[in-house]
Amino acid sequence: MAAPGKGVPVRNRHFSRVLLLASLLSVAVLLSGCSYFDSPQNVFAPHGQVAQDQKNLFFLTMWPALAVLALVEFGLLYIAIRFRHKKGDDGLPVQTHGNNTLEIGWTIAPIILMAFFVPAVVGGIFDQGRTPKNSLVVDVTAVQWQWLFAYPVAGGGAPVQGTVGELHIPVNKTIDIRLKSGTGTNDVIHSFWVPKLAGKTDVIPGRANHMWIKGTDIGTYQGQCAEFCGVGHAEMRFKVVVESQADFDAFLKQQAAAQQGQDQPALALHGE
Amino acid sequence: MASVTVAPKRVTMAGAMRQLREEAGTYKGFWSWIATVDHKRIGVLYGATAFVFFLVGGIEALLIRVQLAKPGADFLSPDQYNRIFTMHGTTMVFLVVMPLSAAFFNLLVPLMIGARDVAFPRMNAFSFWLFLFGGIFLNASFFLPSHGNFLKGDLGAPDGGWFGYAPLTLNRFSPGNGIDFWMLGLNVLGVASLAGGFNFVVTILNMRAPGMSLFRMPLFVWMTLVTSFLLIFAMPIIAVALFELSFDRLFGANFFNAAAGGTPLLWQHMFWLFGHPEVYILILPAMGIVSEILPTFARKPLFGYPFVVFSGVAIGFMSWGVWAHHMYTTGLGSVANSAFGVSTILISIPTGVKIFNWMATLWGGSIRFTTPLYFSVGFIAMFTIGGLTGVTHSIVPTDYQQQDTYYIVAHFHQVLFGGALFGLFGGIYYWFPKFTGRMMSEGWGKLQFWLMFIGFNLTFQPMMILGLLGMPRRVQTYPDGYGWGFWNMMATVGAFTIAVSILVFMWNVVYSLRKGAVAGPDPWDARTLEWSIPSPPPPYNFAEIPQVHGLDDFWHKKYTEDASGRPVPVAAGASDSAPEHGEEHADGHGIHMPSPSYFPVIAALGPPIIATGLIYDMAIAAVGAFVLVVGLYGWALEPATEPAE
Repeated sequence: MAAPGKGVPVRNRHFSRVLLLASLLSVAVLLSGCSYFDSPQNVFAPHGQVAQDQKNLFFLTMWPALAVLALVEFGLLYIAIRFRHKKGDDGLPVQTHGNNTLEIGWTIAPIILMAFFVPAVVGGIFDQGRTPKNSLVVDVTAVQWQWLFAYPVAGGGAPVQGTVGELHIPVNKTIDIRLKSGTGTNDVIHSFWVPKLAGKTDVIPGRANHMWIKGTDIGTYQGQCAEFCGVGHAEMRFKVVVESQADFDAFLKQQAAAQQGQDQPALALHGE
Repeated sequence: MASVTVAPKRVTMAGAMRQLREEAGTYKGFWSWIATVDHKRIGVLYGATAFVFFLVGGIEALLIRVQLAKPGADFLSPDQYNRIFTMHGTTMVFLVVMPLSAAFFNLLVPLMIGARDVAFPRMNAFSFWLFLFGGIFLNASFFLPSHGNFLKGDLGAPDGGWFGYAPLTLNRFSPGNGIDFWMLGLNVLGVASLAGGFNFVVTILNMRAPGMSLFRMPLFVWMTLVTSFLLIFAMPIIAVALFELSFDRLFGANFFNAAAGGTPLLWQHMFWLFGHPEVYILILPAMGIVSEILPTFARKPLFGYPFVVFSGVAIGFMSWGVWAHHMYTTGLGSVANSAFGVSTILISIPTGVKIFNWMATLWGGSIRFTTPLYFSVGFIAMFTIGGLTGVTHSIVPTDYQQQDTYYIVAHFHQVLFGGALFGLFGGIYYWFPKFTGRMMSEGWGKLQFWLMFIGFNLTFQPMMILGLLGMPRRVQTYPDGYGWGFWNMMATVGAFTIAVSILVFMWNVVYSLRKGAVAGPDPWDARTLEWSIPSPPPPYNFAEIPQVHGLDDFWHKKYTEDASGRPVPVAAGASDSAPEHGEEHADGHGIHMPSPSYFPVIAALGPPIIATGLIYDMAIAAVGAFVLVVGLYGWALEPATEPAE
């Protein structure tokens, strides 16, 4: 160990070693946790176009945010070490009262930085707020504590009822999700959320909300009610089965047949 | 004083009251605390009460963490869980952080502006008692289930979340009395906050010592002023929302029931129009505290005082324009979402300014690493994470994913725990010597800081990951196989670490009250007026009202700057202000202080009784109204100060 008084004081060196150890430890913990990232609701593992766009936007802003975070946290550490009161130095520091140039600088700099995000944010909002034309319409009804799905048919006939808690949609097709709270009488607020396909939209009594999704990979994805809705809230889960058009057609046919035991020859769905 | 009386006076009501007041004015015994109108004692009462509620809310947090530690646990039933998380949020916001801030307003504002008390001392007492009784009323709901038995685990507490979204809170979906206690209790607490808000605005605007212009006020006083204005404008909004809910629940009105044509979203607009300024009501006082602590221990003035003041004021104004970022997923439409996304970006600017100004305050200083400074630096470090995760909420499309997940839970705990509570704890360590006359132990204090800092990070950083892994809020259980167990267990370990840090704090208070080093008037070599008077301050605060000549006036009486800007101590006796108080005034004789009064307590008992009556029986409400009227009538007729004889 170098003689104290030369270079970094011993005390500070000790401090930075503790710090190094702590950061190594936290990295180790994070890495060990990485195996847990394989979660059925991980928003960073999208299988739908909307979720993918949302993920991209998140990372676009995450890196500058992390840079600012690093600036502040390491800046604080640096200040704490460099401007620590030294034993024996009982003089008072120079009394700076401020610096207008600097302060105007760090008021304007973040405005400029953030101005770059505005087009991407507003673009994303309008993009995700406008349901593409010729989307397949699905009626989603949330009740305490279940999800019901129905597929309206063209021409206004009785819609094809889906299965409770399981939404089937064809792959690579935009789906217009029409959200309704309660059957007949009204229910409470719920929120429709399939993290791997898209962010959520609330299901509000008396309000005709809708959103669109597009599954880009065949598979089954977990969804869950995201608005607190009473004692069954935690168990109000559902699945979204993204399947080939052929499989989807077969599913509809089967559902239609089961419905009142009748055959429905033409299955022209609303939006097809 | 039992002096020689010729003939026994007729005992009159007024005479009896007067004797009670005189006894209470002695500053001794239990009743002197009940009738006190001294802002310092009310501050202590606020702080102690809020701390007890903090323990209650903390135990609720630990129960939540035990339940969530592992997937599929059944330590709590869904019903119990919902009631406990509702009370955790409600308690921490309304019964802990707000009143802890109020404790600091009470303790510090008159001392910092050179006043002898607040503008309305009895209203100040009324504020406190109403807060205490409202908090008890709210928590009493635990023991009063409308059916079932508390001892068998049937809790009567509210179960609609602290945000109480209609229509879940309507009778049909929440039939017990829990929501009634919640809506009526919050309205009682709202009146207490409003009274406090008005009191501090008037105090700060009217009672400053001569020479203390607005721009010579300590930053904490500025933040108190902004917070008080926010209270005045925000509390009526939630009051109206709660009244509408009360009408729906108690009298079958129809504001929120969509089945009959009501509008559930109306609740959300009003709740968040209150709720977002409320976030700043919770954080601005802590920002003020940190702005006082950093200069003292860096031994430099606050960097860019006007920028810090104006950014605080800007936050106050802008806080009214961001409420709908709590509602992006409700289908307000692309235009509204874009507008509120941009306003959310903008409000992060003044917050960022403050962070950089605090860092610049430390820069170039000679930093004393005391416990208050640890907490203040911890505040900046953790609040920055809260601020940056807040900025991500302005990226609206990604918020569609994060809304109502643990990412949000992580975010606002970074702000309200890592920010507000760290700042408030720093404030306790900083001003403890002023009000008790004794220093808090630095060793125990630093142990508490590190335990809390580590526990805090272990608890809330994993929640950010949990949110991104798709874990929603307010679920009492989750299945295995979602990859959430590991992070939840980590958060639970962190929560118990925080609990240990709180035990250390409690021990430190007990230890320091008995064995702490004697502080003297100015143990930190600080900058503001409260350090110019003895510790603890006498009831009248200032024997002579100080004349203020500039910002950090007290500091400039101790030090003067040489040509290079380096401060040099003022030679003893050279300053025009040396011995601030003449000896003949030091006992405060002849200073006229407001008299103690029992009527604020009596008046404050009224509203909770009325609220109880609205739930159970209107006859009780009539009794409550009578108590309230008696309290206010007595208050109005009682002399504010004892007439001089």
